[in-house]
Amino acid sequence: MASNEERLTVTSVAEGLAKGEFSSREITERCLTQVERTDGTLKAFNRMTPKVAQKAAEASDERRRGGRALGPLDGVPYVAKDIVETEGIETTGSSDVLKGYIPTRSASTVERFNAAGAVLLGKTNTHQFAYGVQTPPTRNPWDMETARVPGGSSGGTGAAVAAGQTPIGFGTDTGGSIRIPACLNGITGLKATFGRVPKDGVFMLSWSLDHIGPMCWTAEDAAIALNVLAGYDARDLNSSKRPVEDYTAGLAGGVKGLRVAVPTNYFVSHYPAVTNAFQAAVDALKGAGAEVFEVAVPKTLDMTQPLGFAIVLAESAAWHAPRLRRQKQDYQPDVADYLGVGELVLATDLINAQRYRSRINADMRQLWTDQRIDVMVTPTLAVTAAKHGQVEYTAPDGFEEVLMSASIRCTFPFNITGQPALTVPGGFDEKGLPIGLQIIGRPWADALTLRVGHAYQQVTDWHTKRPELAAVGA
Amino acid sequence: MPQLTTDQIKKLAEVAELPVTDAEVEALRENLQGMIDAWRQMRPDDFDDWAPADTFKPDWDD
Repeated sequence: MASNEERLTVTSVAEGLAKGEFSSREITERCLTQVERTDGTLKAFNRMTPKVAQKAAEASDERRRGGRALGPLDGVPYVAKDIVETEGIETTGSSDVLKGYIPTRSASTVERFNAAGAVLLGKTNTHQFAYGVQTPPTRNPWDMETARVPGGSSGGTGAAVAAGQTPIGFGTDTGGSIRIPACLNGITGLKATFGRVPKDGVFMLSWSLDHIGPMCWTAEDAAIALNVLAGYDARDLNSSKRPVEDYTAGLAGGVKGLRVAVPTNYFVSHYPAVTNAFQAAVDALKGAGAEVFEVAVPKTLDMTQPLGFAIVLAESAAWHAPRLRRQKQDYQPDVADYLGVGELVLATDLINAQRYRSRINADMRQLWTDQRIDVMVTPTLAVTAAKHGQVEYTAPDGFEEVLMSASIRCTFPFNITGQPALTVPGGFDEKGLPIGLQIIGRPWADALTLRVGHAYQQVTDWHTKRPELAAVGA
Repeated sequence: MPQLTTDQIKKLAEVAELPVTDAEVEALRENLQGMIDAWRQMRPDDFDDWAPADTFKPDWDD
């Protein structure tokens, strides 16, 4: 069995620290060494912050020696996507547009992790300003022979966790940008209910669709992180004042008797490896005692991408408009194209998109109520990792889908509805590329969603698989 | 479906003071055309069934 250091999960690091197997300084050095060893090719990091990390690790060790350890995150290394502001540390959205921008305060999520004793290792690459699903130049650690995408936009964090550079990190999710790279890198990622985790200090892509959350190996690790991250912050107007739960308390409750819906439409894959892995995941939940049944999801979901893009295009263009005029040459061409289109969205199209969004939300609420659904499960992506430069997928049955649509089709609906959605590792295709299982709950059923993920990970071992690159000294 | 012309996009870009070159206008036109074709489906004849564009809050139980 792998040691606590080798597993490098939040839980294993916390256990190793508590048992004195290693200090925070030692596990931090181990992570920084792994970054130095692997990141020349992987390029998950935008910048490392070793001095910040060493100082935080030493403070953590001092607390622990004095019997004042703060909790399970104390001394645990983490990374932050480079659209998440960090006080005194350059934050650029992986762009030259904000080159040299050094925030004077951190995002509340960073503040909360730091206050819990977590150790910031550095900033990870994002598809520029979180506006895409490929994250150049980062590569997917599961196939270092072929230059494959880690997904996006939080591809740097996804690759960093998978490659054993860190046990956990922050991603952000507007159409799937936590869940897509988590899936394609074979790890776990949580987008909690909209408003559960404050997102002040995060560069905006879409005010009404953006989320921030943890990317790590297990549902248990995500629950530990959510315990620290959840809760109202006045700096985020979308932040909710609903009471925060202990998201680890009910994790072991299992799935016996829970009603698990499996959609028969919209979330389909045309790839046998994905459909087989998904069926095996459904069978695993059924074997664990879940009451599994099929449902047809509302036809209105077919409009998810058109309406979602009307909102994202317009909202992102509003935020970037001044910079686009001053520094257009510093934007990636694909991002500049989106921002240009966004400025030309008609007000009536945006309003109708918002109306259609309300309609989808009402339809999903009706479905959940009528069918007494506890959670729904779908493939996280209907495909596996593309090659860098690939623009579309062609399935064995001839079905064609452009890269963006194939990436966000199964994830985007839950940004539209704001429901909690968790992706967990669910297998591999014939090339050894990861496949993910998505678990979706009712709004504010974050604890139940995590409980189902944890139950799935008690009867499967996909979350224990690591790419060769993750082995220290490999 | 109505088709956008390059001249229309040029005029829109001018009004928006959007920094685009002539070479970029055609790509902009194609992208916007694709979106507008999709958005037309959000303009049905029957508006009675449609919800208002409320401020979004995922509170199903409220």
